Amino acid sequence: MISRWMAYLQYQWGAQLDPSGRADAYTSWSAQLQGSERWWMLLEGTHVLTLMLFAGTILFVDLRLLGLALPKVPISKVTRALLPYTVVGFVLMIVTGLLVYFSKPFDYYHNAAFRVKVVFLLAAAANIFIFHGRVQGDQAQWDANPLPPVAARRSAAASLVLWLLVIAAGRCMAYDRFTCAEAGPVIGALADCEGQQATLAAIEPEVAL
Amino acid sequence: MSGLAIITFRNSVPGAQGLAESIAHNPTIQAMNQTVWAFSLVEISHLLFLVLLGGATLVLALRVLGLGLTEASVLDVEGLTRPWLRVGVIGGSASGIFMSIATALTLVANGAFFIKILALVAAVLFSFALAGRLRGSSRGLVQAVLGLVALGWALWLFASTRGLNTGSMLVGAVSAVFLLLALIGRRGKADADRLSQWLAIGTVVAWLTVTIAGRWIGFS
Repeated sequence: MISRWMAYLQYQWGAQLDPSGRADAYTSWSAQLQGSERWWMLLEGTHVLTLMLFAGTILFVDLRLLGLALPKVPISKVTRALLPYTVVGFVLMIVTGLLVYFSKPFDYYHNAAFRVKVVFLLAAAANIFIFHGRVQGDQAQWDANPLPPVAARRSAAASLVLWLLVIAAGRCMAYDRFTCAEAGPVIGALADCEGQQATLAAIEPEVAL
Repeated sequence: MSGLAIITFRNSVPGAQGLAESIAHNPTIQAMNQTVWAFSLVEISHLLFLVLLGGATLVLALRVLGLGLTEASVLDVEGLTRPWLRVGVIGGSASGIFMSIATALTLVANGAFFIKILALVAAVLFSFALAGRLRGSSRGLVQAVLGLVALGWALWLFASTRGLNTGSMLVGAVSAVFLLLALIGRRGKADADRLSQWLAIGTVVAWLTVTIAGRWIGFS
């Protein structure tokens, strides 16, 4: 069902119909974004830059929470100084990431590295909610401590590891061996390549690929 | 602006093509290129080192310009970011050299790679000039001038080379936003001297150019 919807986004949304009444996949809005050289390059380039802004600043927030940076400066002052940049980086990263995804939604949906990346992203988001919901509750008591409590340090370590894994999985999306084109049995199952073939067969009467 | 010939190592450095060919035909390097997983790991680590040095550069620049972490002294923030910057530069260079060796014949004829190396020289000069100046171990003037020449050349090539100039638009747009932030900061708590502030801006623009030119290697 999701696979079919992604195929619609990639091949049919905004596409012109050919004389036989089938959607010309090369004219869909998704294909046009992928083919618009300058926009595509700007989008991808900005996505990489926002990664530096977001992950580069969260690194130092997490280091302070781990007790490994600026021990004399209260944690709230470090987060107040850096988190605005982290948040701007995060918003831009998500917006450009969604647009990059929209350029090939069906292909990315059936990309094993993308699926792993989404799992790590959700885990990183859950870690943020746990930190704000539980760990930060009594922050006033340890805000100025050079070494924050174990729960805060654990959350910071998880943040560092999870964002590292998100970046690594994101880089892996570009490798063919994580796509159905070159997938082995494990990657194939992870990317649901059988589902991809079923969807391609189902849309064949409607789409000229 | 877009009609100039593309400057690459092949057409500007004598012997570069021969060196690239001897690297590409070396049996050990050819065997290394067959190890796909190793190349992937190096590419991933290159990106992670980039995040490290990008974060370290940005955090120090924000402090020098009075835009963040003003509760800590400039020296404390320089001390905090220094090891991460060094790890980023050394790790990024090592992984970059590995990648360059593996794709030497392509890179020697690639305009974006030439721009990236020029910007890298500028970025390293600016970063070390800024650190030396903040620690009082050097005035950083010579490095600043050399860095400016290298960065100016890199940006000129980026903007005037057909097929690459979209990258220079991105450098220009992000640099403009950062300069605007810096101007706001100067009215705030920018307690570092004027040259250090300009060097901080230079580090950000230069590392930005390195990153974007690096991405444009793949596009060109």
